[in-house]
Formats: sequence, structure tokens, C-alpha cells
Amino acid sequence: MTASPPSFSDWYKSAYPRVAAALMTLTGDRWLAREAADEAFVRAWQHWGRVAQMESPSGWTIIVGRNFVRSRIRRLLVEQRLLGHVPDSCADRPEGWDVELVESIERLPRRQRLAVALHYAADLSIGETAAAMGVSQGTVASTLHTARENLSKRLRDSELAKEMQQ
Amino acid sequence: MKDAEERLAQLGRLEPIEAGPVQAIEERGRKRSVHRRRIEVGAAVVSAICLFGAGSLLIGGAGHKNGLLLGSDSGAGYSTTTLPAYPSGCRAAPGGSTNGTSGDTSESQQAVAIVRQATGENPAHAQGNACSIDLELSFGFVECFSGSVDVSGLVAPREGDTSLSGLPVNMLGRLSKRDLVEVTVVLPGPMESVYCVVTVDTTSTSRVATSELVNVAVRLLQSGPLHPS
Repeated sequence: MTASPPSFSDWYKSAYPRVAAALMTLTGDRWLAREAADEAFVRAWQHWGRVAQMESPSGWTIIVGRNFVRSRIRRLLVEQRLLGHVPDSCADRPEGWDVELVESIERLPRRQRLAVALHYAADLSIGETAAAMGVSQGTVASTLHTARENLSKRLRDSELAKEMQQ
Repeated sequence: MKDAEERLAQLGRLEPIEAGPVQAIEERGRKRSVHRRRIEVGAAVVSAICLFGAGSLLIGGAGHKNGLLLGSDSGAGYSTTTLPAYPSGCRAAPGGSTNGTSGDTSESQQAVAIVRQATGENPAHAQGNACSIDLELSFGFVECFSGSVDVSGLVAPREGDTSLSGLPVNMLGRLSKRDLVEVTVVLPGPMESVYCVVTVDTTSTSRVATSELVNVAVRLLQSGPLHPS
């Protein structure tokens, strides 16, 4: 006998912080992450019958949020081009945020960045991450391994640069 | 490496963003559904799909009382009158450029032109021209990605996935494993119309047969959530 899917309300409360954390890792901006998470959860509510059956509803919601952010960025780029307007750079980052790490993640290739956000920030299992990304678990494992290597190198380089400055 | 791993493990544990009231999410979803239903039952509903991307591939269609009305851009290299597997219930946009629009270079211009082709000459809609004027003003990348757009959350289709309102999208999975975005544009104007736009990143799929994309668009038009009433 299969367990019945959770109610949207229960799932929403437990999944929201993890989805938002992943989106914050992808965007580096708390406000944008919240907006994208809200939007993604609205979509999840609209399609809950189907989303609830998915292997990783949280993974799906993160991908939806990520696409929302992309769309928003496209819009900003168009506005910049048309209006000659450069928006203020005022990323809203939480207290205690590991800025160095987040900036290193931002410089990772897109697929590695997504894998890190899903697995580490949203705390999804390798299987759930694989389901959300549409790849095999082996691919997720190797992508995460490469990402960690890249991050280690970047963080080391950053440490060295700091030491040299001092 | 260990340092990176330890620091990564802290991601998401700092000052978590807590969920707001679930009622707010439900209310937003409900309003959107109501709005969509209201539009769907209107007499002047038109839905169209454009596929466009770096591969200069664009096809579009509009709901029509007798079926679907399709148009294509010139870059697609085919004519709507010579679609390889022309689906029943569909026909090419009458008059104008049945070989596709021409002279438009940007994708946004193509998007406007193709929907105009499909809707502006649609005899089922007396105010079709007014509709196309609205489109011309507000349907390009500018508006498309600024303000009046609702990007629905149907993304990353994969083999066997049944996103897009239950539509089997295994064909889409072959086209692009990522970056499929469905965009719904609600246009103001004398005719309240709904346009459904699908962008596909064709940079990696330029060798995909045009006919497959045509079939995808047709199936979306026929089965999508904004199918004309």
C-alpha cells in the first residue's frame, strides 16, 4: 500500500525553507529568492495533484523558481538596454552568509551550481537531485565532486590572495 | 576539499527564510485560476504558440473555430502549406505570406509577425486587426519579459515526463533537456486574448527536424491549458 501524498499545506511549510535556501544560493539575493520561491509555490499549488506524485516536488519547485529568476533577469537586461538604466547592485544577503563561498558558487558552471544548490542548500538526496536535474545519480555524484574540487581551488586561491594582501 | 565540503554543509542553515502563510500562496493561485478560466470562456479567446530560438526557428498558430491556424517564419525553411505532416484540423493562415513572414530579422519581430499572420487575418475574429495592433505594441521581448507575463512552471521536460498539463512531452525531451519555458501573455485591449508562447533553446538542437518542432507546437496548441474554447 502506498502512502497518500502530503497535503499542500504540510509540504509547503516543510519544503519552503529548503527551496528558498537553494534559490538564495543560486541568486545570491535573499529578496529575489523569496519572490521566486513564492511564485514557484503558487505554481506548485496550481499543479499539486501532479507535483505531489513527483519523485522530488521540492526539486521541481526549485527548478521553477530558478526559471522565474532567469526570466526576471532577462527582463532586467532588456530594460537596461532600452532605458540605459543600470539597476543598483544591492543584493540582500543574510547575516553570517558565507560570502566567499557563495561568490565561488556563483562562478561555477551552471550545472554544477544547480547541483550544489539542490543537494547542499536544499538538502535533497542524490536521488532527488538527479530527478530534479533530469540526469542519473552517477552524473549528480560526479558533478558534485567536480564542483567541490572547483570550490576548493577557488577558496584556496582566495585565501592566498588575502594572505598576499596582508 | 574538506574545507569546501564543511562550508557547503552550512548552506541553507543560516538564518532560514521561513514560509509565509500558506493561505497567501493559495489565494494567489486561486486568483490566477479564476482569471484564466474567465479568459477561457470568453468568446474572443485566441491562443498561439511560437517556438523561437537561436536556431531561427519559429512557428505560430492561433485558435480558430475550425481548428488551428498556423504560420511560420521564413527562417524555418518550410511553408505552412507544405508541412510534412500537416495535422488534421489545422490549416495555414490565409492570405499574406503563406511561405512565412519575411524581412523580419529579430526574433521578437518574428514573434509579432507570426502571431499577426495567424490572428490578424483570422476571419473568425472581427476585431482581429485590433488584436494584432495590440500585439505589435506589446508582444515582443520587451513586454514579453517585462510585466504582463506569467511564466508558468512547466519546465525541464524529460523523456516520459507528463508536464504541460498532462501532455506527453517525450518529444520535447528529445529537443532540449532544459530551458523549456512556457510563457502566457495576457494582453489588454478590445479583445482579451491569451497567448501562449513556448521558447526552446535551439542552440543545441538545431539539427532537430523542423517537422518534429511543428508537431510539438501543434500538440501543445491542441492540448495546452489555453486551448481556445
